[in-house]
Amino acid sequence: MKKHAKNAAAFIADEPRTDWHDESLWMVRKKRDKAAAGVGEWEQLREMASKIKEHVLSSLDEYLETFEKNAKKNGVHVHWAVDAEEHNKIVYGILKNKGIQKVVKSKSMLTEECHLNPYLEKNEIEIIDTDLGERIIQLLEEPPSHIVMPAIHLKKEEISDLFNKKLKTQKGNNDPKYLTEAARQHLRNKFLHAGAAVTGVNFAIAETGGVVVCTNEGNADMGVHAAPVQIHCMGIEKIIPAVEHLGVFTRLLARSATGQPITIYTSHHHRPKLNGEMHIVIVDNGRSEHLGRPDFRNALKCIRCGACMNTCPIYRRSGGHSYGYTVPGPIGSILTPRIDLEKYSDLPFASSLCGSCSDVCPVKIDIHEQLYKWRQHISEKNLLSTAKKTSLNITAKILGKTTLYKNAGMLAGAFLKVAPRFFIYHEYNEWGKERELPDVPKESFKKWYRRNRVKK
Amino acid sequence: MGRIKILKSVKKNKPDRVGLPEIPVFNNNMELMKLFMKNSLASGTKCFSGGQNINKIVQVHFSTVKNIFAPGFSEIGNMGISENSGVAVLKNIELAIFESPLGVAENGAVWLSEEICGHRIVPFITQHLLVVLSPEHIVENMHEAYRRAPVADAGFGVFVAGPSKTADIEQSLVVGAQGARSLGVLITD
Repeated sequence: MKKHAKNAAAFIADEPRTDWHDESLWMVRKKRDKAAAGVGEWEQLREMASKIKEHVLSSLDEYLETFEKNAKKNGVHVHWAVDAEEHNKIVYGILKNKGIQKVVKSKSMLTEECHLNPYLEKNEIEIIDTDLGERIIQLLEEPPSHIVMPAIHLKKEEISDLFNKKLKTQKGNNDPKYLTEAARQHLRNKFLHAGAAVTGVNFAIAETGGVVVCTNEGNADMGVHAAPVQIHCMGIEKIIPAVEHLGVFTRLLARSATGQPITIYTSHHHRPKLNGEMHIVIVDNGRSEHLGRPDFRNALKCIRCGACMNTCPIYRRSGGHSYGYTVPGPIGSILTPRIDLEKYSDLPFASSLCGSCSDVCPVKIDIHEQLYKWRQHISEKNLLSTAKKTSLNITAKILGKTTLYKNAGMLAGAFLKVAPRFFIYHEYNEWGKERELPDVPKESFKKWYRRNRVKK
Repeated sequence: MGRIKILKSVKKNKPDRVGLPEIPVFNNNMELMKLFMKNSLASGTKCFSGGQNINKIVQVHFSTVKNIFAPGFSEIGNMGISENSGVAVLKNIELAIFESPLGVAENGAVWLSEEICGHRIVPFITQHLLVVLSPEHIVENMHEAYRRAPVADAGFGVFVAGPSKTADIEQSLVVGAQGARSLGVLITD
């Protein structure tokens, strides 16, 4: 069994918990729908956001240079990193140069992708994640399971136990208010003593050379403004042309993510603070290469809202960790094969291709079509499992011939009605391991149609 | 060097040039003040209107608060904070009061900047935040807001749309995560 299927099987073994996870995310999806319906020009905004990103990707080198020029004019240090390793080295270099040993970090999928935390820890630097969800999973030593709600897979009882052990909170006090307050006090102390703050970037404005960071907790701002050194790490695709384009993206981002009309804080950083230092690290890590894949480059439009995860029937019932990558869910499944096609070859199959992800995507990425295209790509590269290959070959033969299909359908129907259970659900039937076939209908649709609709 | 390598690779791989779309003016002629108050409330912001006075609001709602930073309201503020004050001092602010030049009806956000706040961290590190806003400065949506906000002139500027909040524990909404525990907006007459 491939990795995702195996992980998902472990996840759904606890049925009430799976239902709870499923419902939590569906609730967020419903909030998103309500927020979207409240904006008359919603579809127009999506279309525009998609077109703006398309334009940026088509002139990305020019925009990157403009951004760099304007950021430097603002007194910002701009660094370029070809890959994750270079990114980590640059961040460490800035810290080492200043003799900084304590760092706070707000949510950044890029630094997760680059594994910045273990790198800095190896070099004896304390790095504290300050988004509540991220702090929880950091204390648990787990990766995030969602890009917007990193600890969505955890129950409050588990968080209470964790905080009892690590932050000395009352044993058995599961009140989210109490636990959040404990984290607030713990993190305030960290903010005030950090030598540097690292953040991700939601948008980088070429025209003005500034970066925009969106949070609900205010943790990015607490870190950045308290510490003498601020470091913003961004992928090359975060660029937007000008300030006016923020209007489009800020209207879409939070509504798509959590159903809020905007994040509580939308912070615009343009110049270092008094006596402070501001750095921006621009990271490629395979993105420019992905730009050269016409079928897949649209994935670079992603603004990391997580809407595709909340709506995905597979994600909701398999959990973020089952994907085995920083960015899980539908968008993760089309981003990961670019990193390692063989390692992640099962992820484009972790989808029913229902297309819901594409329907909710605020920048209109053709996610389900890309999933389908990756499947073909993977099959051409001969990376399918033997079981899948065999069954697909048989299916292709059957579907390719009308008579064969007709007979196979009839035979299967008759067989399933009488066959004992172990004949159908056995170790070679991967599909049947976590799923039940529906009851076989009394007659086939074809028969029914002939009886009821075809004029005699 | 990384820079040259990245730019070269982008140039080689980028698709053919596509034009940049024009953003039309979205104006739905809403009742801006009413909409602003509705969306503020939904986000957990407390709105004061109908001719209420800032002194009175502080007396009534913040009677137990000792340390108030209110650079534009000398009769209310009582903290000696200078340009060089560090976080060791700023962390004691319990209530910060500022006047905002811009509010956004569609989401209840107000604009604050380094210039207005003196220190960038104040709107976040203060326990409570109170903002004074003229109804004439409320715009309908973020498009209009970005036409007016001096984003690039401010070393730092922020739209604040409510009290700091999180739902990271089982999706339970908790107000008062890492930033200010409350946001109040006084809409002047």
